[in-house]
Amino acid sequence: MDLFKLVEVVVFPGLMYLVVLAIFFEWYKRKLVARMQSRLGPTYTGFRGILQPLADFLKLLFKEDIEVTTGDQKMLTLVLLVAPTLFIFSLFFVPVTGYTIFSFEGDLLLVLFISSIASLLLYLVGWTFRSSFTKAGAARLLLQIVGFDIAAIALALVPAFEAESLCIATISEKISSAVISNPLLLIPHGFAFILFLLAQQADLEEDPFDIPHAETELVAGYITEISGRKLAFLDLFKDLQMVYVSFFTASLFFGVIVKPLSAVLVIASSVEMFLKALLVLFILFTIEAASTRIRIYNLLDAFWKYIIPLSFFSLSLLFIIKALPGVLL
Amino acid sequence: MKIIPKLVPTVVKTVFKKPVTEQYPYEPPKPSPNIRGKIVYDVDKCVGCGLCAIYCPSGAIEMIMIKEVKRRIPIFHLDRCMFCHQCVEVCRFGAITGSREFEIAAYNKNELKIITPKERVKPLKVGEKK
Amino acid sequence: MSYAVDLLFGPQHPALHEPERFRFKVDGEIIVDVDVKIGFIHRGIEKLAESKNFIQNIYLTERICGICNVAHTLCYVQAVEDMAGIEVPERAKYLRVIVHELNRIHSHLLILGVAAELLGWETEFMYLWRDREAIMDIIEDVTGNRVTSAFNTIGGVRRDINNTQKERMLKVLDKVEKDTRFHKKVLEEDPLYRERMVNMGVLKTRDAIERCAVGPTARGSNVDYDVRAHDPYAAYDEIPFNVIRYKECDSWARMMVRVDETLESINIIRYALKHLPGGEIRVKVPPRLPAGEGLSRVEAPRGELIHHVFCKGDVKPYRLKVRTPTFANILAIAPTFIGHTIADVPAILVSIDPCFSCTDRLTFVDVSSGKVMKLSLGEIKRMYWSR
Ligand code: SF4
Ligand code: SF4
Repeated sequence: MDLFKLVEVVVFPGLMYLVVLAIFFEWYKRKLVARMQSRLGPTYTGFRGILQPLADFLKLLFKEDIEVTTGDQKMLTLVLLVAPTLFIFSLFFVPVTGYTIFSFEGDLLLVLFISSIASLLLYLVGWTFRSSFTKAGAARLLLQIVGFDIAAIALALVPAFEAESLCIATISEKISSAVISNPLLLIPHGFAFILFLLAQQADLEEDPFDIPHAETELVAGYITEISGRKLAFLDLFKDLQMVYVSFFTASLFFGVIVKPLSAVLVIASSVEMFLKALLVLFILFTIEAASTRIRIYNLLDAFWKYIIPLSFFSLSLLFIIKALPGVLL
Repeated sequence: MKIIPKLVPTVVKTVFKKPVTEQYPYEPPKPSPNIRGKIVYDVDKCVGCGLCAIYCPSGAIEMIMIKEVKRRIPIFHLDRCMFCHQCVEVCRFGAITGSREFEIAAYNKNELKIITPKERVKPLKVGEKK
Repeated sequence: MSYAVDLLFGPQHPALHEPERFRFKVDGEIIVDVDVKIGFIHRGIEKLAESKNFIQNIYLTERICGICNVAHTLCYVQAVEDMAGIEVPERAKYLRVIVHELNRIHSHLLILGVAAELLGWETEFMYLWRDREAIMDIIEDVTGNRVTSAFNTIGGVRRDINNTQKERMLKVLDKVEKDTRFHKKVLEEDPLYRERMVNMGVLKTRDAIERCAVGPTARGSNVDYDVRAHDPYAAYDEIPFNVIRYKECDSWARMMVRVDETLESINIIRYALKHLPGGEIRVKVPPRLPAGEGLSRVEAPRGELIHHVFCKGDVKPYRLKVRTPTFANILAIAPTFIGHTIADVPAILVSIDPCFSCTDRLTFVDVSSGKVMKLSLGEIKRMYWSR
């Protein structure tokens, strides 16, 4: 492994850049949702409060770590250390700057697999405590994962089949030309995009799917007993998840305009990816601001009765459209 | 399209509108001209009848004796006062009036007392109509 | 065999804005039993009232509930006026109605917002409270304070309304009406809100009457009961208005009653401002009142409120008895939790607009035998105040 790769992993599209992005996206979320609610949002720290998430993170790091004796603290620490790295690792395969650090044919499946594992780790966070709130929150989380994960995987295959590749970088390169060459593909593509957004909303646990940590029902759900440094890392984990979701969705469904061939173009293409990620988050936060929380039964209903069948429907629609020219000719 | 939340258009529109939040300590507050605020006490008009102390619901008024001039005057403990202005209403001599000031936070309760200095209290002339 | 687990809501819980305890027995997510425990914030106001004079007690009763403070003062001063046979000037009656209705609007918009927040709908909560701010401003303009208005007094009201205030109020009311219509549309049609509220905590009309539900809780169950209409006080006998009722009997209906009542209140205020009679706003009342007994009923934003005053010819009441609406409603609503899920608890609880600090009562119970005792002050002193 050469030095250049190392710099890439640690600094630019890698670790540091991703953490900075995570903190920025947290600010973006707070500010945007505040504006949607006709509030100001963070204003005090830095330019328009842009440093507020960082300040919160640092504050939590310095706080006393209250260890609940009924919980398995070692397990919890392990989970909270492993979980954020999982997302950072999977983001190496996603073209955050237009190109990827690592890439191989089939990495789409690996990334989907890792993100499912990360969600399952959150379940362990709740399960390590004996409080009834965390238990109930963890149980709800598990049900929720079972709901959205299958749909997410099925829907991620739609762009993969359109671009005829299982490598995320190749998909994001080819998807626009594939859709343009066959405009009929736009139907399953749009369909899949909307459903995929819903599945990712459930993954992020935002309204209407913030069921596992519903404040007014379960205090904070599976997070109830966590404090101090551990909470800081859990927040970081959630923010990295936001980064992962936005870039993953953008690279799967939006395609690229600027190809990162030279150094200047890398900057241009990373700006492009960044704007697309912001757009994805804008849609997600609009849904979050406009909806009430639903019940876990409604969620299972929605996913198993409608979204999963619809996602398989869009997959099969895709097959038909793809096969149609061959049949007709 | 019955599953789309009704608030979506409003939410998107509100992003581009000015927020309604008033950043209170940084921006001056805009209270109505009619609010009941801190009370203002005028010792020259007071006769020391003690009605205000009797009617104050929160016990914010304490009557003290000034020995030098042989008369009683009220002390106002503004930390207990709830700005009901019952004392303003009950004082027949107009010695207590209301003001619009309401920002009276302090670090020490003693700063919130209205105590008239002894020198300002003049002896009461019997039979004088105020 | 069911594996019911105890899930405690409260005394401290995000869904409860005041401390009160609900012990739910849950089987999975389904509630199989509920036990309500009140009494965490008993403040002894009734006892305290016996040591203060009639004027001071106005401000004390105002603090039974900050949100429906006008209803409390109005009820108290009416009870005292009833006791002493004081006739209130016409203009004062109309002014009382105006402030009472402003108070109702602010209370209803508040609880609608809280309901949205409890369902995780922060945006609607922010919008409702933003629009409520206009009402708070005119309350401040008319009475002198945003919340504790200190407007009613024995024998009338303390402030008058002039023409500029009237104009301003009418303008704000137009705006609030527009906003409320928007929110009505949203709350009526939003699919997720309906999903959460419709068919939650169904309180059948029969049950509502049997369990003595009052206020919007009863009217949401299609009970035609509104003190303003059926036992008119102040100027309500001269003001035309509708009693809002909904047939659905669920949480959603109870919230919609509040939305419609807000619109109705706006009309009442408009009518009252238009027909505001001239003349005095208060009559003089001596501090010492004759012996007697007075009762008053008022339709507070949360339901029927009763104040009962006794006097033995003193400057103080001998006894003040208050019955607040939540005390009646909470017992009516408690059984309807059973069969719903944990997620529905906030949706059902908020629909009665609970106000716990005015609900709490004190009963002496001998813990060893479980016997309820009635003790006089002397007995309490002798038995428990050993120091
Ligand atoms: S301030 Fe007024 S009511 Fe109070 S003691 Fe003086 S004269 Fe009497
Ligand atoms: S305003 Fe009210 S509380 Fe304050 S001193 Fe006067 S009577 Fe007492």
